[in-house]
Amino acid sequence: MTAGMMHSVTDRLMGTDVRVVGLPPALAAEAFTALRHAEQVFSRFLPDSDTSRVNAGAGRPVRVSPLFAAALQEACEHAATTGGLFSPLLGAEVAATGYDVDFARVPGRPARPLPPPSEPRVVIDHERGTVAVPYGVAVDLGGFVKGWAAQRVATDLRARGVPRGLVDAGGDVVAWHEPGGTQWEVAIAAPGEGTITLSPYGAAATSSTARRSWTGADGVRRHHVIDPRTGRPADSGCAQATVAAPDLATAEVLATCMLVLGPEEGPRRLAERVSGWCTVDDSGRVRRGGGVRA
Amino acid sequence: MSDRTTRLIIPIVVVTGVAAVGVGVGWSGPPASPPEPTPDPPAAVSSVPSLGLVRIDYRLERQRGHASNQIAVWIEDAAGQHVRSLFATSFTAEGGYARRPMSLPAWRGSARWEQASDELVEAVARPAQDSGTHSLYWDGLDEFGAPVAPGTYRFLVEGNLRWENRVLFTGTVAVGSAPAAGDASAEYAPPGAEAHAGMLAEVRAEFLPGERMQPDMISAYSRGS
Repeated sequence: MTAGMMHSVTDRLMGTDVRVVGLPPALAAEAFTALRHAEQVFSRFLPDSDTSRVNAGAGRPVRVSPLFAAALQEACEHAATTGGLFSPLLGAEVAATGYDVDFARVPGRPARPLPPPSEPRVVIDHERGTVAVPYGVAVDLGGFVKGWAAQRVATDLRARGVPRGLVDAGGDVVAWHEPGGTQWEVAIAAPGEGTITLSPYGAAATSSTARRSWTGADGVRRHHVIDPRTGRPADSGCAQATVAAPDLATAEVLATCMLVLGPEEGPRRLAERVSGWCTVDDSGRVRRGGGVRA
Repeated sequence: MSDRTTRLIIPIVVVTGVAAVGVGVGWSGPPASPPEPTPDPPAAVSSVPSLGLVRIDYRLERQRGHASNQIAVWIEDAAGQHVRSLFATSFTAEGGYARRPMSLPAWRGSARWEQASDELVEAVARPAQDSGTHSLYWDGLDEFGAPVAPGTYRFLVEGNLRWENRVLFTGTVAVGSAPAAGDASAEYAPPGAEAHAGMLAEVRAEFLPGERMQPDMISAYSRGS
């Protein structure tokens, strides 16, 4: 059986198309339930989500789900290991671009002045089940949590003995297969850019300035990937960055960092931390390394 | 110190206790019914039998400056009816023709691109390519996913060389049960455009009977979201 002939189920959640492949229907349903729950917890646009309530907390401890506390802690750890190039605390900066409502309503919205820079103190109390972030700082786990949640689903299913499967969260892909089984091949979504083999397990994530980009009320083209160094949409000359890594949360983080750093500095600083990478610069030039094949 | 550095945020994180959430998909009670299975994206796998593959090769030499390097590749039947758009650079495919109406007019006319669905735009639009020899594959299906009948088909490659100066390569290839190949000839427009030649060359096609797309093994596409 080839991978393409396996059972595939797609649903729309977390603002993107999510697909699971190769899972029995009951397990596919479990996976979607978990991911749908993650959307309820982490959405910036649902007023009762943990993210919205924490951002409205203005420094006060806010009761959150264990899931939210765990994801935020892991995201903060990634912020530390990347020297702040990845940050889960850019919610205010993203909102300043006009992306403060569901993406379908963003084009044409006015941008706002950037909030002042800050050195936020994040307090995560697992015993009390609370999180506090300072006034003016906003959590945005959007892209990260998509990969993080998909990775948790995959990790759980592997641990339960499911021999093979693939979770595709809007193009961020995690997959595994049994020893000797058919390998999963993931292509980077542009002709000629390359493919990655995920075997026996692995993940690939792509960050792009082309997706979720829009023209604001002032006629300026913007996108959703914020450079933490400027607080503005990244302008590194990199239009798309793909990273393969053993887990999808890490791949998501490092793909974002590579896009922020640019097509030359990104691979130079990050290539040793990933199992494969591919960048497309603004002129269309493709660079690739590691396990990404032409 | 530059603004780039002063804004860099590395949070001070104070953690008390140990995360209580375990690994698991059962985060929120019993699972709901699964959504109905949906077909894979057509680009990933086609289960419809077709006559084979047509490989279209061309050599691209990227040009300096604006308003160049726009390319489209498509298939028409022998009567000139549009069969399938295979590739178009994203600037034009995603609406750049509104700003530059001289962008790829032959392809847009053939494909009636101004009426294209969002799904079709997403399937065809791609970033501009690097210099070098490129190959695109046509899987013998039309834009609705139906296998085409045996016969002669036109393959076309249009490029904007510089602003309104364009080249259109046109060739034919027989699609049936036997291997076949065809070269393409170039037409330049408007008069004088040939002075900008050099961006596209060596356009040819080869029919590979019975071959199927390699992406049989492609499981997913990684893309921004």
